[in-house]
Amino acid sequence: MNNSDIFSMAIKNLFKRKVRTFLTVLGVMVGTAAITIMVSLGLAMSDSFDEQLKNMADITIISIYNSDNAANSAKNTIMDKAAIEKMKALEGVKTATPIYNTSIRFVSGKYVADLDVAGIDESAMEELGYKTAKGRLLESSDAGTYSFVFGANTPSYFAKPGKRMYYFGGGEQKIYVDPMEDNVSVSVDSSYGEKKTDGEKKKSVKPTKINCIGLLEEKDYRVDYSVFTPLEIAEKLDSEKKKFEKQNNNNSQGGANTKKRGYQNAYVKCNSIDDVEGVCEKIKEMGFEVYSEMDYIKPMQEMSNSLQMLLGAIGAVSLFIAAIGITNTMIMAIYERTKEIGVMKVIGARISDIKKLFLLEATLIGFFGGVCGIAVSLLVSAILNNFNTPLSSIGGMGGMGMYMADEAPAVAVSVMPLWLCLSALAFSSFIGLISGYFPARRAMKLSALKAIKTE
Amino acid sequence: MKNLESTDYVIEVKDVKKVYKMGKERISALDGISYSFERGKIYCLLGTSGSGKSTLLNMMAGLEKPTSGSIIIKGRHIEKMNEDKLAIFRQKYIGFVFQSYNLMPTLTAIENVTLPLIFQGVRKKTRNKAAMKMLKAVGLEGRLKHKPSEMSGGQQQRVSIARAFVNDPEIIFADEPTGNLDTKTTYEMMDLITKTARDNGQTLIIVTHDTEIAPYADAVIHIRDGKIEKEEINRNTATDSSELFEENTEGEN
Repeated sequence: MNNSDIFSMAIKNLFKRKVRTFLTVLGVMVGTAAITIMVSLGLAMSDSFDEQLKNMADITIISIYNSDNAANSAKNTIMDKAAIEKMKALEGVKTATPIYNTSIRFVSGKYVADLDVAGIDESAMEELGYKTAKGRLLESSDAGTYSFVFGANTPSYFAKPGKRMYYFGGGEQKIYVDPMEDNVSVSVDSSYGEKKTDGEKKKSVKPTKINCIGLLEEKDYRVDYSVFTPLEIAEKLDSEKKKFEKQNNNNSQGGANTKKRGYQNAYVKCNSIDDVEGVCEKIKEMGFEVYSEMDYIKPMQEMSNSLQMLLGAIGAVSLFIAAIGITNTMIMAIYERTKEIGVMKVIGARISDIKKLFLLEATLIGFFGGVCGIAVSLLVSAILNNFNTPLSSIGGMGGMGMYMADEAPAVAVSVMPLWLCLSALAFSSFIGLISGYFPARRAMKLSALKAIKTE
Repeated sequence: MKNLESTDYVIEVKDVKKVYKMGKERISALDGISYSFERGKIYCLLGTSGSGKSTLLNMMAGLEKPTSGSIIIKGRHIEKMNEDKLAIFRQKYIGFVFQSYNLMPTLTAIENVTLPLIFQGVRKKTRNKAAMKMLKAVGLEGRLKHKPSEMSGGQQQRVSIARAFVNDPEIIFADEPTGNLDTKTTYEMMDLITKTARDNGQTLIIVTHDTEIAPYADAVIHIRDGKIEKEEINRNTATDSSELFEENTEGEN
């Protein structure tokens, strides 16, 4: 028997029992629509997460602070090279680097900028995932040299002394200095270039010329507003700055930083998001404080997971019921058509033909149900998107509300990509096929002789 | 019965027994039947209800398996074939005419006739042509698109005959083909079926309890209690019901 003949026979049989076929298709439609809408909401949620994550720091990077907590200081919690090596050795850690933070005045021509300098392990930069827009990253060979890599937003901080310090976005920002092109120096005098107030007996120091080797791509807040330099340089600049300030009787700051030995901060880069939690736990056990974006993301994910689970359960239950519906319809059909099946067998239909016929009928019910289900899903999706209330914001997820307020309009509630439609169709057809299996076997096993005698 | 050795047998039934188990009771439907059917002849299996004639037919058609003994059609043991092989065997060599016509209620006359060809995987054009020719031969060229429910019993049986002959099988089984028809239609049907079989050189085996059909056959096999009671060879077989009517009227006079 040709496949095209089986196909046209199956279609004929389905249309013969229009009402029953329609009702069964309706069942599959509801199930498919429920599951498809569930997935589309889930997709939209993860899309909006991605959108939000772009505005957050790299989740796989954990920030570590040396705790000033009294309880912890009892322990041996000095963040020294050994501690960093220990972190590097943790399972799931790609690399770790101490961060030496300080603030230094940069000078270029008549412009100055007070920038956060982060002393970093030169060799770790690449592994931390930093990328340059221009130039290159720090490398091991840069150790001990005045090499600087500028964060994406740092050049905009250069301004005439005393003119402007902060910029909050909005409008065109005029950038006066391109560190890659212009000569840039650093000064230990944090008021370098400003007019001396009367009576100030400050000795002026010559700024040190630096070598700007790279400008980073825009990434996240931890990166965009910092300038990176080898660890020793950051340490050296900081201590020179403090010395200078001491000399000028400006001793109000700096004391606290030297209270403890070792580094104040460190970054640990994990291999994947899944490792973050475990690594955080272990570093906490070492006696350090950790901060990771995961702290925000986890409750968000849990919320959306439970929502998706609920929708998924509804979808699964309705599709299961639809599958039972298909099986029931097919069994009924076999009871009705027992004699037909018998005659078909006697006049030469092979049992494989009969099996194929019934499987195909069941699959077609699943397929038509899938088509209707997708149509319904597209409709529901369009309606949901018109209301434009992202599900993740309904959940009221802590800190995310803030991000949502700014970013929400761009994110859809429900996303229906083509692959979702196609796989829903394939899935519903597959459900039909499975549901038809038992009835088809039954039809196959019918005794031709008995079947032909039934009235 | 001359030249028995050189005779071309199309079906050989050898010591076939069939025992049904009904609870604890064992009912013997066929009790050691042996018979050889010659190619191109018409046979009538005559017997009362429960004699085992239908059981024998079902076994020769491969619808039932014998408890013991063998059935050889065209040199092959059909009692040993599995269901798929039997299906292909039936597609090629066997046509069926039933008492209750057994047409597909939702298909038109022509679709019903094409059905065996569809199962054989014959192309649409070819099979429609063959079906058309067959329906014309049974005199239903005006009713191609009619469904069974729109036809009389005689017409339905004609469709069923067309269906049995459409793939030009070597053997036709007819199980009480006239059981649901009136006398006039019975003769029409018998004329049609025997004429077609003789024209094509096909072997026709008719199961019936109607003795009036017997004159059409070359051999009448009387079956009783699962055994062959006697065999009558008919030397002057009827080819046309008009002859039968003459005989009948003569008899009455």
